[in-house]
Amino acid sequence: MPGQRVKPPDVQGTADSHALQVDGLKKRYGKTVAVDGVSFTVRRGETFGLLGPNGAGKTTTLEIIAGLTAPDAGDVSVCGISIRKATQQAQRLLGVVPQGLALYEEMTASQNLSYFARLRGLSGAERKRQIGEVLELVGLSQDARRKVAGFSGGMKRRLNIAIGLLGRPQVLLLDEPTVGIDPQSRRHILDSVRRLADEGMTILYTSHYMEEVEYLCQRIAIMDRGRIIAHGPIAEVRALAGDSVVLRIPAAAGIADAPFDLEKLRANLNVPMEVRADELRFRLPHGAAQVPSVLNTLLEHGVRLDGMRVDTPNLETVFLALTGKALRDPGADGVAS
Amino acid sequence: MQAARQLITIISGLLMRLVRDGSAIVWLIMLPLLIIFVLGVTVQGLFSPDFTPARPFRVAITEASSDAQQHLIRALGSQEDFFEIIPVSDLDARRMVLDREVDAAVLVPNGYPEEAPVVVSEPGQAVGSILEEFIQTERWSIAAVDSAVELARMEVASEGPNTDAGDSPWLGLSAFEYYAVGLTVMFVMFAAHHAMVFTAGDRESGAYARVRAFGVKRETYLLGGWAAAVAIGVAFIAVMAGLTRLLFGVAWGDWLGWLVLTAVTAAAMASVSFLMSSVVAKSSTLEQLGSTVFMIMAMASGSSIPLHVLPSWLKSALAWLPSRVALEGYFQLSHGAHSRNLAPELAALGTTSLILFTLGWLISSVRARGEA
Repeated sequence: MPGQRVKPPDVQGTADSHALQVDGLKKRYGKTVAVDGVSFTVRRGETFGLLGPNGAGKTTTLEIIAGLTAPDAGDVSVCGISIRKATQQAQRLLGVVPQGLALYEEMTASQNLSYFARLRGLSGAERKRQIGEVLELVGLSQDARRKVAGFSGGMKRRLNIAIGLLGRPQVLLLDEPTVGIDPQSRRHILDSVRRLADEGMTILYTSHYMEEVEYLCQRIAIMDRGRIIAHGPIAEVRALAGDSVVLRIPAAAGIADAPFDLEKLRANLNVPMEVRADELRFRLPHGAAQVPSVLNTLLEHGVRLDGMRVDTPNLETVFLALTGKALRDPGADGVAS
Repeated sequence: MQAARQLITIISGLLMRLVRDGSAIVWLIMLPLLIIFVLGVTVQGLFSPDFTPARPFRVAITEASSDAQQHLIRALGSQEDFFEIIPVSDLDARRMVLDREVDAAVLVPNGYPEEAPVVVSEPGQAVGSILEEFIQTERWSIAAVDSAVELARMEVASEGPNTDAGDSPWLGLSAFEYYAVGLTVMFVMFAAHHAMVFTAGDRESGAYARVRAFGVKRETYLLGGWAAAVAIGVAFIAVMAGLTRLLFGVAWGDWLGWLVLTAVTAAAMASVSFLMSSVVAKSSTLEQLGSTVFMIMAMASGSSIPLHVLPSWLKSALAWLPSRVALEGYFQLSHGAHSRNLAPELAALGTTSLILFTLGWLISSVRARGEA
């Protein structure tokens, strides 16, 4: 990265190797349990992924970590400082990038940054210096004086991240930072996050995009219905899927118009089947050895085979294996079953 | 110290957002100026001392025995351009108004002039207000003749600033003077509301969460929103006072009185908006609610419909509205009142502000349960 770097400051008196320690968090809204005993740790300089479908409890967990929501039970320690006991002190060590675009559209990019920098307590030359650094990091230096209302979705997302970096936080919380943007901006954001990680910043990254988490993170936790259902280094979590592979059969004309009976097919298969708008997916728990028998069953039911793909275990397979459902919102891609 | 700096940042941030919102500036400044100009030109006649109706108003007046009563009837009868007097009995007077045989009726009590006559007219008719104004002037003149002391007081009052504008401080103002005050009081509500709509929008966009994550306490943010609404209100009234003085020659009176009244008016309007924002979370709903409430308040308090056209009972019933209190305060300043003469208005607006702000604060606190 050219120019100055955004480096986190050293925190005095925190010999603890964990930048973030989440311990037994519980949060309930009425009868709905949003977070149910969530615990994990993030080491200094680590990029940790928090993965889960919409409604899994990721955002509530992040809000508790950021000191925005009071937990019913449990605590969070940021570099050894309890968020419950010393909220503002702990918040000074955190940078938060919320899922929503927390920007003021009437203001320019630099006015937005200046506003939040003042709230952070930055003043004078230090404020200007940090604003310049973060603008450069996210590639918006040339657009600093433009009104945010005229920015593309990707530029807004990048500015959203830049604000979170003000004050050089020890730990950066990123909540789905690539939602709804073009591939180019997504790539830019992922590269920026990677650069920050390379420079030693601790990052907690939530997403429901497995490929992003696999690209950025060393360790992950998978959440579902407020609980952590898997936790550890990516390779270990991936191994939870065992020998599972996913067989994908495309249907060019679309599943809805297919000339075969889906229910009959499902009844005669001995493996889980997921129906998407343009393909069928089968999780094969015993690996690729099961592929021929599944293909035979498909042919017997009149399924036209225009091609096939076998995916080796990834986080999506793990999630499917652990919960029996897809990680991403099926509405976005097709029809899950 | 840190909280104070954050408070100032929040206030200045909200002010900057309003200033940079071009459509808001057009809506808040250009529109009222345009309305003041249009109303000032078109209804000037209603406010002018040279105003005479197209035909004299037909006025039924109860037959009287005392000298004072007969004096009033003669005085009304002498205004031939204005009134055609028809002496009738008490019962007939009311019936004739209902049957529209006359435009208005005046029921003169035996206790006149100590006791005020009752004017009966259809709601919204200018004749009622014109009669009330005329009769009030007559009663003052009788009182002045009857009492040398009172006469001396009246003379002093007429030489010095007319701070004793009585219950109707809006009388004697030009249409431009009336509507400059009326529209400013009406639009200051919208101006102050802008800040609260911004803060509601911040909760939806996540900006509020981000501000909180930067170590800003909920209380600091709430207070910042309210204070920004007050600041916007004060700035708006100042701009309107300057522009109406420049464009229409409107005099706003004693500057110290104006400053104090402007501060408490802005605080009261900000508190109305603050209370609404504590109840309604969604910014679009809050904006619509504000528009509805403020339009009704403006009409009922005389900002858009002149007070002398409103029926007496409505004027009395709605005298407590903060917009009405502010309006009367500014009218008194226009008549030459000083800050010390505005004590009732300042007390009323200050109390309203305190009550509404406290209510809004309590509701916000209850709704924020679960926030860290």
